[in-house]
Amino acid sequence: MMSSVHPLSLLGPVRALGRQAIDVVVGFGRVVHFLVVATAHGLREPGGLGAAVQQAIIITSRCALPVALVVGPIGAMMALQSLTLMRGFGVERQMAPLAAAIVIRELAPGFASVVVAMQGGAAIAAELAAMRLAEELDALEVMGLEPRGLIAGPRILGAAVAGPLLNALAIACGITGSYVMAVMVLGVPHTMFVDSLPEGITSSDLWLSEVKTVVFGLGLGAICASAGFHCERSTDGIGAAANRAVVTSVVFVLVANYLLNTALFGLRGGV
Amino acid sequence: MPRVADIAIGVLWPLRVSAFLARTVVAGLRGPPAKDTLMLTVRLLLRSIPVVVIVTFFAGAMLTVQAAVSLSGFGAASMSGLIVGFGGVREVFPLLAGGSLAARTGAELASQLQAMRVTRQVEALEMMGLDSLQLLVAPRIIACIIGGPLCVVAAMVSGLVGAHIIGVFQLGIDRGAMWGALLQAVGTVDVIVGVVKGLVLGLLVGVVATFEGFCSDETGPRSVGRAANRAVIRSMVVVCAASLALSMLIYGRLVQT
Repeated sequence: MMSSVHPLSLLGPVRALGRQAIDVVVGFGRVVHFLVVATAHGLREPGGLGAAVQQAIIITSRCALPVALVVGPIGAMMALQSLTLMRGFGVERQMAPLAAAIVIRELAPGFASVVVAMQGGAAIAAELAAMRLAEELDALEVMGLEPRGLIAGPRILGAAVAGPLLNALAIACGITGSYVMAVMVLGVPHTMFVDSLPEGITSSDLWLSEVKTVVFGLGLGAICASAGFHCERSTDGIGAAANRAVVTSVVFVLVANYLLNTALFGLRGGV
Repeated sequence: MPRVADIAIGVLWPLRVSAFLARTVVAGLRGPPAKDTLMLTVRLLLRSIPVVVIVTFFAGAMLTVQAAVSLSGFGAASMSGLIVGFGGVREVFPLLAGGSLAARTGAELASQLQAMRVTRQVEALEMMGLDSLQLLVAPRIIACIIGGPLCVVAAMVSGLVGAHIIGVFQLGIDRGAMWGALLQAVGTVDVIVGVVKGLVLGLLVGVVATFEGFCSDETGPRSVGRAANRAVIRSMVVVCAASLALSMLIYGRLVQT
């Protein structure tokens, strides 16, 4: 018998960490490749555009209610916390613009995309994984069709179109939520809220917010579709694919959000 | 257009979930299997904490950048500690901890239980006269209740680390001024409130996820993915609503009127 602890085995955690890092890089490349192939083939298929529009309608209608239910309370929380802060300084007037700006720039695009990942993205992954398990995707390949373009492409494009639509809804719901909390519950005068609100909304913020959600939609659509497409062929595999898809896309949204912010505001953030 | 039946199902859903929780509590009183509970808790922590840490790190970074951009107009970028304190520690970090818990563990629990349903393992247990609520559901909910507060604490630490790294090293805000503003905004009380929030959010995620997996009457392999999907989105919505309700209850009275 050799001695039980080989000196090299102490490198185990290091090796595991390295393998994890390699997996992240390889996974990133695979998703980007999948995104390019799926969208390019999807647009070239006859009727591909129509299928994409149909998927966009499905995703938007399925996610609208959850987006409203998630972002509304978040707007209300922003109003509550910024009022606890601002009443102390006597700058209550700044509350509505600050809440609106943070909702438009960060919270609406971020949380709307998280909800799209959880509702629409998980559904995409589960659907594709079930098709893989039932060998429907293999059947398409045998017939000489490209399942990535035919099945995944429209779903990815649909998510990219649904993202900005749901973001607009999220902005409306977030501001409504903060209005309800500030004016109806905490007694800020209605006219003060409505008069000061436009100071926090600029058209460039709105456009940037919409562009962000297009990027998030494309990315999370590709992550979820490729997770479902490359899933393990078993009942447990479907659940695992949906789970992995949701987690990866939530992390993606947050990381991409930070990177986009840094790119937009510059490294020093205008300080 | 949603049909009337769908609306009725939506209204009845909270009642069904609470009834499910009550049944599980009664079944769990006979003592859930200790070893399973421990293993499930360890698994939850190992799988959820990394997600929580990554997500809140970048959320803290995002809040700091936004706060610095908004406040630099007044020449008060160092006050961004205040916004990280009020917006992050009190609201966004606990909320994202709950969301990450739902995304990672909630979906996993739902798909596990639904897979057991589909492959008739739950029926097999009941055939043998064993209580599936006590053996399968109770340990999972307990694991979530234990894991919830730990996730929230991890979220706060990681969010503040993110805010510090981005604020001090990237944006060049003075370290002392930022932490001074932060500690002026939040204190130990807020950490305790966060732990309480974590307990409630963990319980809700656990109950909703196990309900969606255990109580669905769908069959076939496709139902596994659908159960995971329902569990994630419904626990996210419930977590948001509960988080707002708790904030109103706890912080609402701090607002001077």
